[in-house]
Amino acid sequence: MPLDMIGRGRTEVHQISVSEPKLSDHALIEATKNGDEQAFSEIIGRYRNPITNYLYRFLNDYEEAVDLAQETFVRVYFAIDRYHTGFAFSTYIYRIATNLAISELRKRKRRTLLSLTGLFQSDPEETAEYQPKDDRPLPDEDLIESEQNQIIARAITALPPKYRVPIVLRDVEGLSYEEVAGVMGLGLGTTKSRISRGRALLREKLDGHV
Amino acid sequence: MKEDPSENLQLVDQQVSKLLHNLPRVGSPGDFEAKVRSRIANSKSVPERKWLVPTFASASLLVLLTFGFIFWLSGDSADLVASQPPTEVVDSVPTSPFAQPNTVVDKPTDPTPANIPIAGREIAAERRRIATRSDVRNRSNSRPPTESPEDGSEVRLLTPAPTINANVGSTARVLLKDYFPMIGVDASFENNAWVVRNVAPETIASRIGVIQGDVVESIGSVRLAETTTLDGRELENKITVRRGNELKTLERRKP
Repeated sequence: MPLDMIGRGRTEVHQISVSEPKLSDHALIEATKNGDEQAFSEIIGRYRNPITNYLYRFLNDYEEAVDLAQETFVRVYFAIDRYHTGFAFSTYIYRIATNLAISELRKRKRRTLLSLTGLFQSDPEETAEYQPKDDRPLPDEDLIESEQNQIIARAITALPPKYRVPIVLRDVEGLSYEEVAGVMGLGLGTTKSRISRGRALLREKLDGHV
Repeated sequence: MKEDPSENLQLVDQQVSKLLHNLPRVGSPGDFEAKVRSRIANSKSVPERKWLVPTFASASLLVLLTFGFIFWLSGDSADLVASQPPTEVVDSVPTSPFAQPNTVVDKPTDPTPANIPIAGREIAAERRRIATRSDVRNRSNSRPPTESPEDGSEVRLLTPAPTINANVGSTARVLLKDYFPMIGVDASFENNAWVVRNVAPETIASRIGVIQGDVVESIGSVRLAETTTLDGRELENKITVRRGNELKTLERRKP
């Protein structure tokens, strides 16, 4: 789905209940382990939008992002007995989502290699998702903004995954450096270095738009 | 005033970061949780590790078949070995049982070659023992060796003879009642003496001159009693008989 459609039609300003948690994540996890389905619903409610947004910015494919976000919660549910509270739950769930997203990228790469149609595609722009024409009138301001957002989204997805993950987690999702390092399983210095390098790559790609 | 390039880059990085942060956020669809629940329910409905059952069953069957096949092959090898008495071709086999038993070729060859599996060896050995016992029971007086006209060698059936157990070597002892048939003599112990009842033609005894009615006094240097046993060292190429009132030493003529 095009970015402008999502921005206009589906975007929900996710004022999730994280801001006012009644129970901590760990308490909800414990309750879920004890068979409290309502607790798991609360976990889903807290993280469904951040995870979906993260995966969308990572993959630039809304349907795939929603699918992987759902799969993320399924994985969390079945692995909940193995979760231990030594890590923040947010780090844990972002890591699962990241692994799923990277697996998806690998699958796409294989599919691209195997696809015969790829032999006849000369312009990389043609590989972009099919975007049906939107006949609705748009204000110029919105049009410009949505175009800029599309450019940024493409620039993000053009980054190698090793830079894309920390950039999206840090600059899009707003996680701290420590949290990003926890999700990636890297040291703090390496994480900062990758974020810096990723921003530099983005700057090159967005030259003229920044 | 010149601009510091590093400061400029930092400013651009901040702008990039701000741009990313201001990207519109997307949310999940309304039926998100319902679909998650549905997936969980579907995953639960499929019993985990159900595939292990047929996998383990087929693997076990395969293992059983493999072992069965190996066992069957071993059994065949054992049958083959046990059903055919091993033969051994030797040169210059002494034709007389008076010869030193250490040189007698009645030594059974090991019917369990190394390439037969262990289970097969055990089976073969057991069957050989059984076959040996039955051979002893059914054994006739002597089995004439087959002369090979070409090289003078002799092919002997190596079914273990009751006379000399080659596995024991020179310490093997043999009863006289088992020894006499070897040389073609039918003898019985009467009046404290071994009396020759009959001598089979074309046997060692007939060749060296033993005749019916002879009383065997000694073999080699061993004087005979009813329960005398002989071992390899005592068997020499001469036998002393009493014929009438006269003692005769019958000796095998060396070729």
